[in-house]
Amino acid sequence: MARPLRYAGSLSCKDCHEEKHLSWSKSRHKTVNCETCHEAALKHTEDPAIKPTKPEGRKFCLLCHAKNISKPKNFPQVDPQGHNPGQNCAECHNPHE
Amino acid sequence: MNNLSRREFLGLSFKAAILMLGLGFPKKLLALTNLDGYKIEEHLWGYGIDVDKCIGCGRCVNACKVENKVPDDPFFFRTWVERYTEKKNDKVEVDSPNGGKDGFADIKDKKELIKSFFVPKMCNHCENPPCVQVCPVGATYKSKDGVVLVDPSYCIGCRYCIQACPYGARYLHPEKRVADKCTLCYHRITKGLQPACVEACPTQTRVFGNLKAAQSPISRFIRAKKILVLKPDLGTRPKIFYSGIDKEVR
Repeated sequence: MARPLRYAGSLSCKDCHEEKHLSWSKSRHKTVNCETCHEAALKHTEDPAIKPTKPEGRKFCLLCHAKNISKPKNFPQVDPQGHNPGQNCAECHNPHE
Repeated sequence: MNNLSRREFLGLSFKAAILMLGLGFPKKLLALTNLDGYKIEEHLWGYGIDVDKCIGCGRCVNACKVENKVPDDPFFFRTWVERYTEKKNDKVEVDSPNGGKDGFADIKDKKELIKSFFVPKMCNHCENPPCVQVCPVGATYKSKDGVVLVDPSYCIGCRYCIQACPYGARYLHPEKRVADKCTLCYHRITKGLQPACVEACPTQTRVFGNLKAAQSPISRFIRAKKILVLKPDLGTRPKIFYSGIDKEVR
């Protein structure tokens, strides 16, 4: 049953990235764990040279934040065509703050 | 040995059987359940899904596939997300493109729409699991801590369990040719970690914990919310507890 793990869990990120962890824990993204955006990172905890992914561009953010009638009404959503099309979300929004 | 009486023969056979069981059987049980420091009898795992929070981003589906090496084809899932769309004239549509893994495009035709919402689905880890009942070789079983598991070394791939599951939660693994399903990430939860889908969920739709601990997230969830289970009329007694589902959800 020694099945390999792939997700390390957010607590293990804190050991090295304390500053990021602190700003994240006060941010609006505080319910979103590190590996939700940065993908499974257990290998990174064993060997820091193996980098986890970093979502670039708009596509990943829009998975959650694209306007969709089926989503809960109080969830923050934008119309991708109307809200600065073509621009990277991270140019204006810091996901860790 | 020719003088062996019937009584002695039976006695010897019984001892031999006990010895064989003693050598083989407990090892398998130990390997599965007696993990370092994990006390199986202190746990009964339960899982909550708050439908009012689900945004259909599919991060859970993705995490499950990565963590458990679920084949990437769009018809093999241990967990998936369905979108329910209720229209006028009592029309209900359910779709789940690629299990919801890549998210959902917005509904274009909103004219007839009454409401629409996302429902994550997975194995319900029933207290009375029909899949366990029908397995002819005892490969599918319920662990002491309430998780329905498959032992792939016993499974003969007959697919009875896949047919028997009222929730469609099982599939035949295309390479291993054995039944495969959600294990609640048993390899993680017995180490004190959360299932990968719970770890990846950005909105805390998915809640997990020990039903035997009053302060665990799942016990709090059950106390705080109005809970339903899927297909309660079947008497399977699921341990996946839903909050906020509609009457149309099966």
